[in-house]
Amino acid sequence: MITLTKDQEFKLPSTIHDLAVDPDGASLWAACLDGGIYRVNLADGKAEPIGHHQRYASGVHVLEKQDAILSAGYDGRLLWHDRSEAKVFREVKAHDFWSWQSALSPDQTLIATVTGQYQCGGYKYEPAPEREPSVKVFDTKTGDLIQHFPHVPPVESVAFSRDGRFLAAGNLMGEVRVWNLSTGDMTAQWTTPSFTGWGIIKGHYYTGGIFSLTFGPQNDDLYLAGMGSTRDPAAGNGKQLWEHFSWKAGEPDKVSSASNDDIGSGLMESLTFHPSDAWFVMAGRLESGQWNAAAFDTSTGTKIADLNLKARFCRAAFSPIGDVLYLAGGVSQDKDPASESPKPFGRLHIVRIVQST
Amino acid sequence: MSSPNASKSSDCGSPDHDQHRRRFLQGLASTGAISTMSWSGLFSVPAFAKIAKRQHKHCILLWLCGGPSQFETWDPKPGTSTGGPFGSIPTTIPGVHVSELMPKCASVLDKMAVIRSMKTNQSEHFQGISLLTRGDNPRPPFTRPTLGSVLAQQLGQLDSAIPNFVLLDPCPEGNEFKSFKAGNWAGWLGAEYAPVRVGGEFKLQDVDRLPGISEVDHEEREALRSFLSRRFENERQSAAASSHNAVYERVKGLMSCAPLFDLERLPQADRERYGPGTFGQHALLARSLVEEGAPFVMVANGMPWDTHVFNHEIYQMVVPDLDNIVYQLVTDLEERGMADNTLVVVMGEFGRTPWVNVKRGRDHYPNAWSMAMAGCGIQPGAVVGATDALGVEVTDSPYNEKNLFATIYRALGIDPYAEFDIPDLPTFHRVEERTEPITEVLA
Amino acid sequence: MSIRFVAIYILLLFLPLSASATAPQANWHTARTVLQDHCIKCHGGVEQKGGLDLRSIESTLKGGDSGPAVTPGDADASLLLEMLRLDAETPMPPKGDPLTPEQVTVLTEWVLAMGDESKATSTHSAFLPEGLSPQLAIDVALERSWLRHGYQPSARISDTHYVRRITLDLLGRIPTGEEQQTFLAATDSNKRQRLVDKLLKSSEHARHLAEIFDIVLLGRSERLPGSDRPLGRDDTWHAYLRWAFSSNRSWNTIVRDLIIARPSSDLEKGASWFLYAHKDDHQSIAASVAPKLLGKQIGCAQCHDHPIIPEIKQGHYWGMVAFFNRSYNVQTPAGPRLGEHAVGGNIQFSNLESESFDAKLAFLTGETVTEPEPEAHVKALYSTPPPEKFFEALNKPKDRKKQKRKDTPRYDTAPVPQFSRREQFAKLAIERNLDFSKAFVNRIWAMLLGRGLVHPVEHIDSIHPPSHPELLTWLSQDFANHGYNVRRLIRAIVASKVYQLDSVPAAKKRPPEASFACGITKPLSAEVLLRSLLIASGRTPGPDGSFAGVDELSVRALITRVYPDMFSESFSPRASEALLYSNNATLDALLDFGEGSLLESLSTLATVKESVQRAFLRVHGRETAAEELAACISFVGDQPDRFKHVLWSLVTSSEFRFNH
Repeated sequence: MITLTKDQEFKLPSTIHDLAVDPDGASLWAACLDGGIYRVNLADGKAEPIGHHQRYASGVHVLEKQDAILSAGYDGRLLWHDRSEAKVFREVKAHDFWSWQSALSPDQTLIATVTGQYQCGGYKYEPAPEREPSVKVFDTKTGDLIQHFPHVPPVESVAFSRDGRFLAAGNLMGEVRVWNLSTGDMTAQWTTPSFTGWGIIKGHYYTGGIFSLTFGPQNDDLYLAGMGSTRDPAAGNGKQLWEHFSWKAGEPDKVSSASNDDIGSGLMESLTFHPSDAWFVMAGRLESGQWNAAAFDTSTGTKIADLNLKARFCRAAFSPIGDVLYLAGGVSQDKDPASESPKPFGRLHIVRIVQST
Repeated sequence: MSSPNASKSSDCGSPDHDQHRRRFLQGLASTGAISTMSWSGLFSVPAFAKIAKRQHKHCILLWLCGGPSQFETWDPKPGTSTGGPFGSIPTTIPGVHVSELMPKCASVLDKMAVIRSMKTNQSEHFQGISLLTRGDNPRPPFTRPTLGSVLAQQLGQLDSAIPNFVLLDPCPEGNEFKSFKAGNWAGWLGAEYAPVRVGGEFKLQDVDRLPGISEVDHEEREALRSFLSRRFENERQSAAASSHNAVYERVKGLMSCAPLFDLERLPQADRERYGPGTFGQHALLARSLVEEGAPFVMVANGMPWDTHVFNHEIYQMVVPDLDNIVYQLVTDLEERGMADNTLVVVMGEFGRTPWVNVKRGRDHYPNAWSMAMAGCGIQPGAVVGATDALGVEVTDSPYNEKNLFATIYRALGIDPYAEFDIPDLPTFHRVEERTEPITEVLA
Repeated sequence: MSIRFVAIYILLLFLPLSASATAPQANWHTARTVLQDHCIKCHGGVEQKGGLDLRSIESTLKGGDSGPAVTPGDADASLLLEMLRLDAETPMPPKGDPLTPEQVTVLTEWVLAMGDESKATSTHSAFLPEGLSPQLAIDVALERSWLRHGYQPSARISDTHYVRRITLDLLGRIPTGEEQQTFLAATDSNKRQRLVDKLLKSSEHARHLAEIFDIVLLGRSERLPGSDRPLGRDDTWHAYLRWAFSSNRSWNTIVRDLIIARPSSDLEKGASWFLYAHKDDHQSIAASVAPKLLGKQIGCAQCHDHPIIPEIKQGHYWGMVAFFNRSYNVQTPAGPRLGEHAVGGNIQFSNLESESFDAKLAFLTGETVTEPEPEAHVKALYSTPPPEKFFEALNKPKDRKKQKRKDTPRYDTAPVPQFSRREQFAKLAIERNLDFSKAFVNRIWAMLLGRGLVHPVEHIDSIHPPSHPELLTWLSQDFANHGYNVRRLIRAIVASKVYQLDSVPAAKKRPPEASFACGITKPLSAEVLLRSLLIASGRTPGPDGSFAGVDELSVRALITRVYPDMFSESFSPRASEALLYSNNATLDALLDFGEGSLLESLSTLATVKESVQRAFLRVHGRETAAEELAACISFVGDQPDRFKHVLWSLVTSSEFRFNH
């Protein structure tokens, strides 16, 4: 049994898109909608900017050995920030379009970033083929492009396997591709229709997609999260959905998915395993139902704890020893943005985890 | 008539045809029936009449239903708290920037006019659509005709084969727009000025005369039908019957112009230029219909601009599509010498909020929004009005729907303040309160 | 009418015309338009700046943080009017143009008129006392309104036209030649009533009502451009509706059958389809139940309180959802059923600010239900429990690795909990809710008169005032008091004077439709038009109303594709309709089917004149006017094969397209 208890809530100027936990245990790093990369002091919640992207910041990672912070943004750039000096010491233009998401390899030597602009490619607004490689892998020490892989844009999520041998990326159409990094071959490819809607109510286009993609304890376990399909793209009322695939055993096979009894509706943006691997947490926004962050048992897939913290969560992360859950995201922007001190709309919730038997 | 296809079938020229008609008319005269009713009306139904075209002007409305965001189109606020994730780019007008999602329009902005200070007062779709298609708030129980119906009546010719008001929209659904589409477009002008809807699943069917019916019989039975039916309509003063009869008057024209609606007939190179999506293909079709003489074509595509959820994720796709379509239309009209007599209007029913909501979306915002026009009667390169640094308020020259409609009518050479002279109706004006047009955008 | 009735009638008719009693209400609707255009954005359903909500009279009187917004009858003391003055401290609206003097006048007049209203004791609702027959109530209410507004009602409809009108309305088709002749030949003064009683008892009438309510409740089953996805159903659903209407099952019982969906006999079993068709989509159920059974559109309130209609709140939308969200489809050997869980279904919903709220079991009237909160999901909570395997699965950790997509469970019977949310809903929606009665009365009124007392019919709310509010309330109360007797209601309406008015206006100028002073030309539905066309072409319906040798479903699909919806706000025909009748081979073939057809029988007549007269009689049910005869004879000329075009002209004319 576990219980999740909200402990503290910190406010940042704007929505937090990504979060990295500093090994020092005293701070977090946040990539925000205002483009800023912030260090958040866990003692008092003070957020101090260390760098800035020209557009939304979308990813932030700690390079421990280099004593650096690596961030990505909708400006298509990767920025290396000196961790103590708050200075950018390297900048790489990774994409012409956004870096939708980025992932750091477990040994911190590689950064993968995914991009892709959805452009009308057919009568029913099927996405057009990519114009630049959608998936790129850079060396975190040099900033050199190591590898790139083709996909169908827009590619919204990316993840390394636990052993660093595989890279997976998922797109708006629900297509997942997995590559073997040592050979560069694509080793698996499948499409799940569950996370994508083709608008028939409001207009013709695809919405949704795989917003989060995470390898499980085994290399061949891949967990996807997002929002179930909606007929009305403007409704935002698809299911709070995760799906678990096993992709190594020949044909990729859907092993399990969130049970209808456990979920309501709303976009889920993050799925993260607890350090124990006994359970994982999925977080996002509640449209209707009971929670916007919930813990699921890894072996049964059943919901074992949940929370409704009244915000949109973009990222869930655990403290290294697994006693704290950090949930980062935001609320609606101030309706008086021109006021002298607009209300902050970034939110960081600190949740205590108590495990009992 | 400008369409070669259309003229073929309406000028049948068969001697049988003339001879029989003479006999039919003589027969009617000999019964004495002509004196009892408006027999003259029998053969003046549009199928037989030829009325000179009153105007040679046309209008294409790219209807961005749902409410397009001004921030991601004509009034970007890059780098501000409301600007969203897109930047801005310079245009061919010095000092004027548009969203980086619109590079093609930026390259021809000096041929267009942009209004950045629209300020209206309906924030819900149904009321907003009504306001921006009719040009005024409702005054129940009277229903004001939509822009398309007014232009169909003012610019169209009664005997035109091509419908005077074509609505191209492939989406069968569409929440409030769906309700609006099912409603009364033509208002007090009557069903003859309602749109003919084509696109996607909406195809013109039953457009070929059955082999067993001669052309003469087909036309004359309609004349008889109309006579019998009008008698019922007149006796009961039934508006419903009047609408019913009006749709039959369209049959002949639609039969002759049906091939014009076939996308396949359009040149492949043009189809590629306009982009593969329904919106682009229909915009091209609109251009082609205008070339064939259609006075008004409204190109809609459901309500894709209503992005309460995933605003930026959707706009990164729909705005480039729009950018290309507007660019192709503007350059085509110029290259084909149509810019002087064809007005293109690009707008929706309101804009979207400066602030971003928790669903990654922008909500409805009538308070300060933008739209664009080009072509007939429009001052090229005019950029009118402005909003504050965050796009919250109009800071310069606010204009409402009445200003806009006065402008559109002026641009097309139509009196904005004409009275609608309809029996039993209070005095209505095309635009009420003699509201001024936006003179800066008028050529 | 007895002498006593005549006396009451006259008395009621000439009670002092309390015009002023309804005037403030009328002023409010003009005032509301001004407020809606200029004020509601900040003081409405989405936002209430300064705590002020200007969507209703009540909320305006209540006012905001600075007190009541208006003082009835006193313009100077009304804060709302003061704030509109240009010299006010912070003049309203704060941004944009001030209100025009005309708009301020509208608001001022409304405030003044409210003063008159509060002085007058409210007598206007009392002029239709209880205990009248519904027919008399209708006659009195309508005649009073015609007198008050100076409308001259049309003449009483002739027998020739009456038999067509009533047959179309009650059977959904034109009368056959024989039926028409029988009626015209009868000479007794009571013959209209006799015909009505005969028609109401016929199986064709039940089939007609079943057909209408099938379309209203589940939509047309074929997929049409512009319509929602078709909802599934099977023959048991159609059989249920036919049985319900032919046995004159009371409307509240029918709706209980639909909502509770626990059939106790084979006859009722098809009723489950109303909920089952939504395939466990509880929002879809709520969005269907509200307009169809309660006459209200609530879809707009999914993300926030209704922006314009004050009484419809976001909590109501989710409250409706909550009543159904323990329900789930179950396949049983007896057919599709709706099971219900005893626990769960406690949801929260969030607004645009991401604030979330518990969805209470809340009804549109604001009533809420408190329910037991069991600690565990156990068998004892059920009167009909789910099978053992259900509880076993509950208690055992689920092995998701083996679980595939969830199919509709197959149980022997549908589980029923001791505390049933659907049961509670049925209570609130039916037993204590006049709107339930209003919604049905209004729909039947619209079906028979061509327009609802509230129009459009599914908009019974504060911004769609009824044309005859006192009558709608009275009839709805009467309908409820008399056991929701459907046949009684229909009989009363068709017996009334207003139903029997000619559709030709009495005066030069046609009175507005909402006055009902002149019969409204009602478009026929696709179903009714097709059957009428088949009769006009010479076919005779069998006892069950079907036609031998015609694939009605597929022809009907052609017509429904091009026809406007039933109960639509206004008649907006499409050009595709005219193209269909002009050029479609299937429809063309219907008229000319050889032996036994009208066309064939006409060819045996000696003269064109006789043929024309016979055709008019058969298609329009009336004699041919001289000029019509002349035109048709002239049209045929010396080519008898052109006669089929005369027939085409008749069936495509407006006279055939409408019930009038």
